Amino acid sequence: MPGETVRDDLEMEYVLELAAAFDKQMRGHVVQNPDITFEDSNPLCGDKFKVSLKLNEDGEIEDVGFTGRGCAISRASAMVLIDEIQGHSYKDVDEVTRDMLIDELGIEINSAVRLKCAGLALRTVKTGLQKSGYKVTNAEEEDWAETD
Amino acid sequence: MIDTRDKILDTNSESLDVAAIRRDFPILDEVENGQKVAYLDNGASSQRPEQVINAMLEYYHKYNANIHRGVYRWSEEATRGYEGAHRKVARFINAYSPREVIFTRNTTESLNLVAYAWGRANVREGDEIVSTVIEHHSNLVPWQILAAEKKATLRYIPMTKTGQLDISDLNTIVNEKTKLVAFTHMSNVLGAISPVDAIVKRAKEVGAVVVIDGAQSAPHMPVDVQALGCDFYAFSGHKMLGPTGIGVLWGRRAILEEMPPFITGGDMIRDVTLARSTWNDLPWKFEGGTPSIAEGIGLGAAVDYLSKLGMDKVRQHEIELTAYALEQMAGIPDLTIYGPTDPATRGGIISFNLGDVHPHDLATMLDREAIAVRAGHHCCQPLIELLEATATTRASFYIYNTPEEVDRLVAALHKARKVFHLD
Ligand SMILES: Cc1ncc(COP(=O)(O)O)c(C=O)c1O
Repeated sequence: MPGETVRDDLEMEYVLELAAAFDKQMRGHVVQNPDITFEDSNPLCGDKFKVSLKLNEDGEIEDVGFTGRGCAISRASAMVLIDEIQGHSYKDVDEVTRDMLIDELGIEINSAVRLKCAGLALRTVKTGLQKSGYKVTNAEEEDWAETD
Repeated sequence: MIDTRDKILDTNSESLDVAAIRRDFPILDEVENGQKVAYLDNGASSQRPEQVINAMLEYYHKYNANIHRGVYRWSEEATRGYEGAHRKVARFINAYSPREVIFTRNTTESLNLVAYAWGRANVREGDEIVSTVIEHHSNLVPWQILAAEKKATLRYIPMTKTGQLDISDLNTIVNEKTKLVAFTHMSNVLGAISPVDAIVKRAKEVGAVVVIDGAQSAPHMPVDVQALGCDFYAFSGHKMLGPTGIGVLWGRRAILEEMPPFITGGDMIRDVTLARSTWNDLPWKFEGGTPSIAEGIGLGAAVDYLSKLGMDKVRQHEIELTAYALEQMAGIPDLTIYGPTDPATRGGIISFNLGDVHPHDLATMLDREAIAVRAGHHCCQPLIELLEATATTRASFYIYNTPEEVDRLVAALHKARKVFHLD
């Protein structure tokens, strides 16, 4: 099915572009005096992200940094996430869902394993905020949503 | 390697009749994205033939009842089916007696049974336990917990550059203090078959108990536990055509008799008073509570199926298919294949990485080509670290896999080089 193949290649193309943008932006990027650092991993594959966040007095996220390792989908969705939350109030993080990130990537993901990849950065940020006392909804709920 | 390919396809040869086998597995006709699924994730779990599914259905349809209790026909038949499965497994691995065959949920539970029941009673402060750096977490974490609990030392047999266990220092690692040596028969990442004889010989010199993780060997090669010379041997039904929820721990009778039970309560007792209890005969002493009856019967059917094919032929088929795959994959630029290169010293498991493409992304692309492989750390994080990888993609074969499926994998990997801009 040649039509299928072309679509797959193009789909992957955008994800790879976003992943490359993420790599470029994060390379050597250090968040100065972060208010929050938190590491989370995907237990299914061992991929890891450590997020650093700098917030100002109004609760706006001034700077976001990620280190760690991840597949193209997890890095691409992290790139989309950074664009969504940088310069916004931490409260806005609540508005971001994994499904929104996947929509932005322009791919269809129906494997539970890959859904976890797409949600890793978001989960890391939400849990990091939560553990530091910021009120955001529990990201782990989303892990169960896919069993509905 | 056209020779190998033809030989595998030649149904008149001594090899397996793969076309006939495939007819027993209707799932292999399922279509994804316009193609039949090439199921190359047998290391994780195999498919089940009609014979196994039907044996379980028949139990549910015709004689479903608890075992060891009722005096009515259904219960008696269920008991016979479930106990008979122990006998079949005993023959399959050449156990001395079915009493040495304990049904568990899986390899993980079997290994935990040894760690908790034998380990707690026999390992003391200052003792040493030996495992290896290539183990599945199931054959590592229970020993870590046991060692910590008993203040014993856990030591590891290292790995050579070519992915075999490195036994050059065996006499130091396994020494007078060693109480137990646990290692895998076949690596679930590299496919490497372990030097069982040398390790068992050394362990016996120092009087240590030997535990072999047979999760990857029992399904794929002839296994004779008496010839192996080990004391415990663990494997899972679901990787050898059987259902999930049923696994095996074989143990030497004399050791099992001495061991305290693991899971206690119903079915595993002989007499219970308010003051104390005594234990049932082997193997029931280690099968507390209502077991997985249909699954046990299903495992019996799986063992029948494999025995009928002949484990020698199963092994031969996988040697040929692996040789063909290794040969074809060697021609793919940027592809790193891990593990030993000689098919005679390895099973049908091939782990690889394509350039710096993350295995998850590669596996997703292969999935779109209807090729099912596994990507990740394969529950072997210490080994993956040693390979200096973050993860690998793994193709693993079984009796129903064909050279055409290998060709599809190879073609898809060539295509992946374009998709991921490696060329
Ligand atoms: C070598 C090895 N040991 C142990 C296991 C654990 O098997 P199970 O998940 O059936 O307990 C596996 C399978 O994943 C394996 O490949």
